[in-house]
Amino acid sequence: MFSHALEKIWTMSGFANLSWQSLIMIAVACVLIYLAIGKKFEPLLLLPIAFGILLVNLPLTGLMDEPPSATEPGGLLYYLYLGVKKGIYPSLIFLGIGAMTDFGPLIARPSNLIMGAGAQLGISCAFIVAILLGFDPKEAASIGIIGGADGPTAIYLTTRLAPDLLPAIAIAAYSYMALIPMIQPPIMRLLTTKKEREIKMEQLREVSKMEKIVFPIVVTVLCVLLLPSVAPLIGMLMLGNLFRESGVVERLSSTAQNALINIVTIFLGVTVGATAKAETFLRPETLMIIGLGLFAFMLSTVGGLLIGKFMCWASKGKINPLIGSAGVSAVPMAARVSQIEGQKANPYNYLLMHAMGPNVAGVIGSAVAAGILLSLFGS
Amino acid sequence: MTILDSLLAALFTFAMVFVVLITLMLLIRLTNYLLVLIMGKKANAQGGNGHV
Repeated sequence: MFSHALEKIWTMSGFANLSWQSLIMIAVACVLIYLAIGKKFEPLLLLPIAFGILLVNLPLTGLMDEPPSATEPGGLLYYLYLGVKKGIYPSLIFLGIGAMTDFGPLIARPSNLIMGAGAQLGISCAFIVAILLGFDPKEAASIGIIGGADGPTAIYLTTRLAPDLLPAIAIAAYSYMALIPMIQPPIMRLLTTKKEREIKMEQLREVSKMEKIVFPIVVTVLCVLLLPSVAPLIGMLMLGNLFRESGVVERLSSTAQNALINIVTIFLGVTVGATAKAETFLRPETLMIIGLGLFAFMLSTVGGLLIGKFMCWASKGKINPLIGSAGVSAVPMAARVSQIEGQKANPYNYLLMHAMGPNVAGVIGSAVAAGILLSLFGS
Repeated sequence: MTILDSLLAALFTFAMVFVVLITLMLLIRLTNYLLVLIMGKKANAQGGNGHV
């Protein structure tokens, strides 16, 4: 009788139901937790993502299970995941990003937008290669958007076009964003001469408060009229920025850039991680996505740098092409890399504020690219 | 989707990003011009909240 009870407890425990695939995923989760804590690789998102992977791959938890009937509840993460599935979290994150971002450098030099556009090159190239590798157009578009280097945008587009690929794409996007200081500098040095890297840029002009208030309204009207599908992302980004710049809703601005974005980041991270179940994640496609993501990321850096070089030539050497690589939208990491590389070439070079222009232009650019892909391939 | 279709879609996406962002650039310049015109250069600059 006692041994029968023990056997029953054993068979009902997670240990008896552990598969080798689950063990691999638990190991992946532990590696990601190490990278987040030990190496500080995008810890704000990688840590909740990693823990989500850990939780969902422990057997019998039912955390992501749909409700079995109308009266019985589903798993906790199933409900939280609805915010990802319905595109709520990425939009709310954009609200917080908008409230945190100073678009002043972009308004002071609007031509930075061209660098932000050039740095979307990787999206198109990765899309073509993904099609050649046998992905369908929706999947290829979702993979390509990794080149935009914008996590919320990648998640937003993928949940709409290829939800099955969400965990691989989200993990690839955030991993490469964390690896920017390693991925970008060799490409930057390869594509620019020392003379170009040494260029010291003039201080940006002063931007009036009125310009900063008008900016989010102009961007919203133009982008949403041209691409209605981008309204949730651009609309929220610009609403957050209007909170910030208006100066009359300090509490709302503060909530958006602190409490709200932190809460949503927790929900987004854990639930995106929780989609990485062994059976959907351990596939050859995952490795291909990770490879294609790196390819997209590198080509986006190349695109931004080439436009930077062109603008350097067009401005007769007044623009340092290094700021072009900041056109990938990973804010503010990509701008910091431009600053570091600029200072390596010339210790008196301060490119950070100049690089913030293309950097925030990249946020708009990747959201616009997502809107176009959604218009082309969305149902 | 044929290879040609995917090439066209990729080119269209990239070109459209440029079109939207260049339009935006022109609109920002126009807005600044109009603000200076309406408020005067001095008034526009006085409204500023510091160097960027």
